[in-house]
Amino acid sequence: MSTQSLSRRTFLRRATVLGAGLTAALAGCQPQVVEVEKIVTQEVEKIVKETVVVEGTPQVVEKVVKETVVVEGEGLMAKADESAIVSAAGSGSVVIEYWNGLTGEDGITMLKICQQFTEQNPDVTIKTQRIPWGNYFDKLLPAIVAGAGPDFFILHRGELHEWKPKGVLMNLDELFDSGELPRDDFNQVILEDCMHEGHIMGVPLDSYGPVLWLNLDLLEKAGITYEEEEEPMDRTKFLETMTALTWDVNGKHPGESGFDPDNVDIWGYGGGNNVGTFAQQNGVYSVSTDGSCKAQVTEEGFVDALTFERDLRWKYYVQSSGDFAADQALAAGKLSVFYNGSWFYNWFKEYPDFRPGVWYFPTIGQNKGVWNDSHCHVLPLDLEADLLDWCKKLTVHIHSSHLWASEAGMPTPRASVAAHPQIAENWALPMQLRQQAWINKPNRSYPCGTEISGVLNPEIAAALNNEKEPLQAMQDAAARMQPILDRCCRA
Amino acid sequence: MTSTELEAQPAARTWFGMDRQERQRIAKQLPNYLFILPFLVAFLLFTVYPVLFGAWMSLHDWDIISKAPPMIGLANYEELLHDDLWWLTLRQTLQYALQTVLSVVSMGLVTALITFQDFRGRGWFRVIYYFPVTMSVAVVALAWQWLLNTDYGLVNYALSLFGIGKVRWLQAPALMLPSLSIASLWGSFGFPMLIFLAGLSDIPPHLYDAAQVDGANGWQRFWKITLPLLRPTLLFVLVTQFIGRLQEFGIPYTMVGITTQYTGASGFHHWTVIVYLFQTAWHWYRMGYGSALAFALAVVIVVITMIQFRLLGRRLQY
Repeated sequence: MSTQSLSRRTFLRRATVLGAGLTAALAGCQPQVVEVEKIVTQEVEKIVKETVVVEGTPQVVEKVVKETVVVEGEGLMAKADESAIVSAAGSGSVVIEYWNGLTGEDGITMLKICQQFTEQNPDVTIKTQRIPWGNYFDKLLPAIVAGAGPDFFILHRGELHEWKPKGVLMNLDELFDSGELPRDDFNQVILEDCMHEGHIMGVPLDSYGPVLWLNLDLLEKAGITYEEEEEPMDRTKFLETMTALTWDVNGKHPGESGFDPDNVDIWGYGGGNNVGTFAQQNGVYSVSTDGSCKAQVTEEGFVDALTFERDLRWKYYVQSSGDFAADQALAAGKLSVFYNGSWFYNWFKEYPDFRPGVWYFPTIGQNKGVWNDSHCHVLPLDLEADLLDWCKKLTVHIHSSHLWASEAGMPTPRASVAAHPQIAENWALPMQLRQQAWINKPNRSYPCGTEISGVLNPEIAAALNNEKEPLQAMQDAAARMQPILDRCCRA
Repeated sequence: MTSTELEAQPAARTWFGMDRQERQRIAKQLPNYLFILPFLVAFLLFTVYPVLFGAWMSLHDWDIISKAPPMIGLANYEELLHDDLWWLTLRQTLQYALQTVLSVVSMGLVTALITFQDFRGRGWFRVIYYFPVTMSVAVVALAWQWLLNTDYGLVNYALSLFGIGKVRWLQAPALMLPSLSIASLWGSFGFPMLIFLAGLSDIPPHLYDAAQVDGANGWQRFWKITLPLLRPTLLFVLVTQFIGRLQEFGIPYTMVGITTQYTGASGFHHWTVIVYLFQTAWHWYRMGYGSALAFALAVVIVVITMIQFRLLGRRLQY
């Protein structure tokens, strides 16, 4: 073996040659891009204006017609790609970057609505990024800070409340004042929640809330007849029903002699906790609503709600206290009633053999009341002028479509959209639309809502895990909440 | 040369004030600097600049979104001193780091000693023990999340075969951190094993021969020869493992998460400082305070590292 050492120059020379060779080899290995022209036919709905002469006075009426059209081009989707995180609809020169967290089947419906818009407006391309909600803000915030944020994106009403005063969102009053989105057509509680200092900062796309999703096979097994409810269940009826829907491995119900709580085969109820909503049914919010920024979680109504949730797991044995994948248990026939939000409607599309039903959210407290939230479309304040008009048009288009409600199962906040005949055909929507009459008014009297939840929820979880008594857990939570409230409300 | 001959020589040409000798010296050194230039640029851009920017952020009340964050001086650091969540997560982080590092180092050393022996198939064992290190943290965490599931996990199933009831690995407060350590141990002991193998191969074999001749048994050879001569390697492993564990995020965040509604976990028992920092900065819109937490943690890491160097830094020579 040669003992001659390698000089620096020789090493650098050989490394450069090797690097260049590797680069060339890798470039040659790139997959060939083959362009394929797609010819696609699709059934679309078009709004057609016709002039009709009535008693000598021409009237313009709008008619919705369905047409089969041939649409072709590289940029169009033949069918919305269900796995694509990034997709583009349209092939126009105006490009709108649209970000949302709708990664489920509901997101496919949104892609369809966007595609309709680009068919009606061929100058526009909508590039959609669907980012899981858990990562959405990890991406959105740095993008906005870097000036590389989207042109059009979604916030929930809770987040909108925190973003509104920061001066980064556009005032959308014009859309409503022009009549394109009539104010009085929207649920006023929800619209008011999207306002900041009298201006509308986000357009609510939906009005989703809690639903009890049912396994009708298990209801049948328990001898319960499924019929449309007139009123939500009260506390007693709720416990009786969930008890009847819970079986251990020996077929016994909770409370029966020989029931084994360590070997439950089918749980009656699952899906998380609703301490906050039950407390609001008792007339108590986690923070005072009069602007005094006081933590109220140690009040009787809140502790009662937490105690009830704790007892569902440790006293009544109708809900699992373990780390329980409730949706998987539902699919496996091991859960009778699954509490979740409106969006869960889309889950059933993947399980066509499942027999589902819906019930009202129960009234555990003294009054009926449900939580409510919305996906809101917002525009950044620094949106380029040439995109502004197109984004506003897109907003009107999306918020006037019935598809988000009828296909994605998301209740609409607009009365006119709710009247669309396809809404009534959706098996889950009518009940939810009726339930909107009991929406608890959200408490926006304090900022830092996310931070308050962040210190409250772990203590709620500690009580639900039977580590602490509910009152002790809430005292510990209040001790952390109050300094945050003092800091945020002072600012 | 005579003075006349010296005067007759033309004056040496200078270039930017440098004479020929200096230019030659620089030309000889230039490849060295060119060689480190890419790393230096990357280091300045991706390490030094973020650290300085982080320091600037920690002096402001910045909610990420606002364009003009107000300057608040050392208020974030003052708040930190009275923040019970900071002290709680710091205690938990130190506990987690201690139990994880001790177990990882012990396991790494034991497997290194075993696979250092000359037996058939030892190469395969080294590969198997090292393999989890090549997996991403998220994969390790998700796998162990399901293994330790109270109702459906394989671990509880195996325990049930011995008549042991369901253990709430990721729910019982006392078991939370040890469960995270188990996942971390499985995913990372292969790396210290590799380092220890390199250290063991540096120990002169004649020392063992001499000790054997003098009648030393295996245990004595380990305590008197192996361990003392492995001290530099041990120091390296301990320092790097502690630095890594004190900054742990992936395992607790992925295995248990922040929104623990569906995992049934509770409280802040699994929160490390970095989990708290991430939550504060990105979800509670307090990037300024999050930066202050980061610097405070950096101080803790530096202090612990200095202690380790003090205790184990002395080299031993036989």
